[in-house]
Amino acid sequence: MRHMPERLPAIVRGEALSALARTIAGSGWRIFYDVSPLFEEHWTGIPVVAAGLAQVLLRVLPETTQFFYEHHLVTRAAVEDALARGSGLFLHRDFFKGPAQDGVVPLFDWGAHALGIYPSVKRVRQLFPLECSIVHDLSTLVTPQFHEIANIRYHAESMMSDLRSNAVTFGVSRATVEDLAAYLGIDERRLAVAYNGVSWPWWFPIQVENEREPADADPYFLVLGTREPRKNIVRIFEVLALFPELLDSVRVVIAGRMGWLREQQMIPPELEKAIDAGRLVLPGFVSEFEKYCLLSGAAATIYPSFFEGFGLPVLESLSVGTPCIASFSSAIPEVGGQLCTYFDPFSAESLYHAIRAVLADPPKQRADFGDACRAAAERFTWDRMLFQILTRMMQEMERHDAIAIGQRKLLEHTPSPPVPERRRRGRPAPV
Amino acid sequence: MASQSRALKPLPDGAGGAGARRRERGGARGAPNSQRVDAEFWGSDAIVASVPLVEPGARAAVIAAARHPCAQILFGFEAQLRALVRLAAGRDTTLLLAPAPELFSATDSFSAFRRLGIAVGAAEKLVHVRLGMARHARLLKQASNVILTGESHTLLPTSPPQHPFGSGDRVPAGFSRQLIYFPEQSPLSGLDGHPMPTALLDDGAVVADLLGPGAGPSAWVGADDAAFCAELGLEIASFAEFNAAAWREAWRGAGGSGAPPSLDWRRAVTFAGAPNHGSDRLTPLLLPWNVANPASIVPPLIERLSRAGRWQDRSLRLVVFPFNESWETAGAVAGLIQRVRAASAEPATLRTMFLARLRADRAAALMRHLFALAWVEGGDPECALTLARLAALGVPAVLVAPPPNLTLPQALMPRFSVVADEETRHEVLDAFGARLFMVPSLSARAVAGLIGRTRDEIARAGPPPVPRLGGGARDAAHA
Repeated sequence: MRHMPERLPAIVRGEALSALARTIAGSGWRIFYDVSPLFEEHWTGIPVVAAGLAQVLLRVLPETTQFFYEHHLVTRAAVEDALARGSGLFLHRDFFKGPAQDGVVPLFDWGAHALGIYPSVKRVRQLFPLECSIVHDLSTLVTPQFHEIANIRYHAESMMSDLRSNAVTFGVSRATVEDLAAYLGIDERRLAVAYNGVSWPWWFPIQVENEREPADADPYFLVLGTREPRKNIVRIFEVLALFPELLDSVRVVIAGRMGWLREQQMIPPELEKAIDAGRLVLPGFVSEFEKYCLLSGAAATIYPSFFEGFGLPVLESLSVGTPCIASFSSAIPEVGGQLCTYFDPFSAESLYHAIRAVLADPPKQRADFGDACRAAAERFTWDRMLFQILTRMMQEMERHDAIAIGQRKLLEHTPSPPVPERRRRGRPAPV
Repeated sequence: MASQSRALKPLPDGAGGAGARRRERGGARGAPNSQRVDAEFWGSDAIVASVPLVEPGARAAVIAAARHPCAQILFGFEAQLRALVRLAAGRDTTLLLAPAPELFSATDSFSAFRRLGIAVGAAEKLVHVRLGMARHARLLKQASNVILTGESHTLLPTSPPQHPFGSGDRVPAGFSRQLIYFPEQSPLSGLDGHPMPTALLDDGAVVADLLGPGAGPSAWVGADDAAFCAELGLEIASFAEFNAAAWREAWRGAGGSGAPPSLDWRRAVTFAGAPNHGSDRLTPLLLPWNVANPASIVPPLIERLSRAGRWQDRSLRLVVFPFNESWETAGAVAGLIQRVRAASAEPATLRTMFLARLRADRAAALMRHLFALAWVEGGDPECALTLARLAALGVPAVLVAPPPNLTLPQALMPRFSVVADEETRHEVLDAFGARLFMVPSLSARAVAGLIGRTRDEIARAGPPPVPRLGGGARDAAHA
């Protein structure tokens, strides 16, 4: 069955999160949020998720939330600055030089009422009485062939410890949660789904209107993502090499920084001419605004990935009303629903047919497509992701409190053990 | 397959002490209370197999398993796949191959199955059989997952690895049972350490592909070419001739290596079975190498032989058949050759050692005519599978450094075995983490003894029967 996140009532999107935040703020619990993913200079994937959640936490739980990196607190100002910049370049520098540090994490000040939220792998664990982390995918475990050994080992060595120390582990999709249960045997009661979100600065749509390409320019397909083997960019090269006539009518833009295992993603020599002629464009890493411009101007995006825990670029594409031709693998159909055109990631022919189908009947020209995309984007917001996390963790906090109260009562009603006879008489007890 | 078994003679306590620190998975040997694979399994709407392939060779997310071109067909998971294809064909069951079962998740993923006419949704009707090593096991969601492994035992690392599947004896929680070939196979465990329920495959399942039509002598009788091996699908090159790029491309599904027939090999087979150097005969010796076994003693054995002076005068020609190559072991073969080339005492040695793979059925029947004997690594987890395949091919085997307590079906008993007399440390650093294995192995003295006994055995049994080839090859063989 298709796992589409159900539509939430309107109250959940706004008021319910505020109400939940008020409850948490009044409960005496503190939230500690790990900002280590934000230390990256270029934010793609996990840092984007970490930033999205941090943004909402700052808005709805400003007094209850503190940020930390390993054992040290990070100043709110430094986090806000990084979020405004969309980069962790200065956060990283200022933390390790000192100004962004705000003392050590107060392990004992908050007693049993501290919740640690880790948006990715835990650099240090078991600091807080309650912890939860987000698993973005199990690709290093399930598709290690697409990763470097150091990366596989880093994740493998921390994975089980992270899961064991979590009260709840969140997967960013039903597919990821199922992987956690099926591969690692994690009890499903300790798993929950928290879908990623998407958001753009309010001024992007305005600014992009000023920078539109001339209307007579050839349409282009956009491929977005770090160039690493799992992203299967070679399938795009293969299609273009097999069907070069595609480039007569459309351009292809492949944006994203070069990742690892580069030799597996080399551009075939027969495409050199297309690059020289500007029909195949590889701009490398693009800023958030450039990405938004490219997304909104594209005839469609292509996302050929072999394995995804969520597939953020698919959602980003739909959020600006641009159709996506996506591989049918892992969590991607869960996110793209019926708005994407799917293809077999192993088959260049299948991708070619999908491209042809979109060219023959461009979804962007259909009146209802934009509305459907907007509706899809509303289902995936950072507010909602945090709401999913906090709702589930609230249950854990209540359970935790109930246990603590029960233990206190038990202690109060337990009679003290009788003092040994000899001690009563003032003699030392035997060792 | 006979189910009777007996233990090989255990390794003496004083001989290196390998037995003392060796740990076997599952505690007791063998899979108790194994049931036969039931009719429900074979009655599934479709059985989907998967192997630890890398993707470049595949052209679709699901294909007919029979259409998958194997890099080699003799041993390991590719041999298992071919045998399963033959078994399924005999039972009129659709056998598919999913190169990456992990990519299937939501309904839309399964459109590839629907295009093949397989309705997905009734989970109990779709069975996924994972072949290959336990630590590479992957699941197919919405299917009943079983693992079919040729591994009989596992040499565990001396300290537990951090990777959840790094020890090699545990599989993901989603597997419901393990299919086995022999009752002697130890059951794998889930992550909780509990042994999995097992089910025994049909007798002869392990060699079903070698016994079927098209694999008999008639397939090659009449083959006519001086380079008959390449024509029939046996790719071979000496360590001196080896080309890493060609080897890798062929493995990645780019077809045959396209390399010219090996002149060193032609020279070796020309003199096979013919008097040479007095009473000596040049005899090719088959050495299977499970590349996926991180504690394999085959690479050190080859290196030791290559460093030994005048190995080429020993009249044996070592032909190494690597198997279970996957993404994890990419570069292992080339790395070995590189080390041997660097360390070889005499360049001529490199022309007496060969690397080979068999890609087609047609040459399978040729094996018994090429190889008088095979050295099989006793510590290889898949040694029983390898022995069974060799027996079906008619190649007698010698067991090298078998672990203590190794139990084998009676029908697979080797001609003789050479016990380990020392223990070596294997430090492995790969995707599954850093691990240390203490491996029973052979000293130089024991290797010399192995060579001597091998020559005696070959002399006793006589040379392998000369193949009834066509004119050109026959002329070449008896020139």
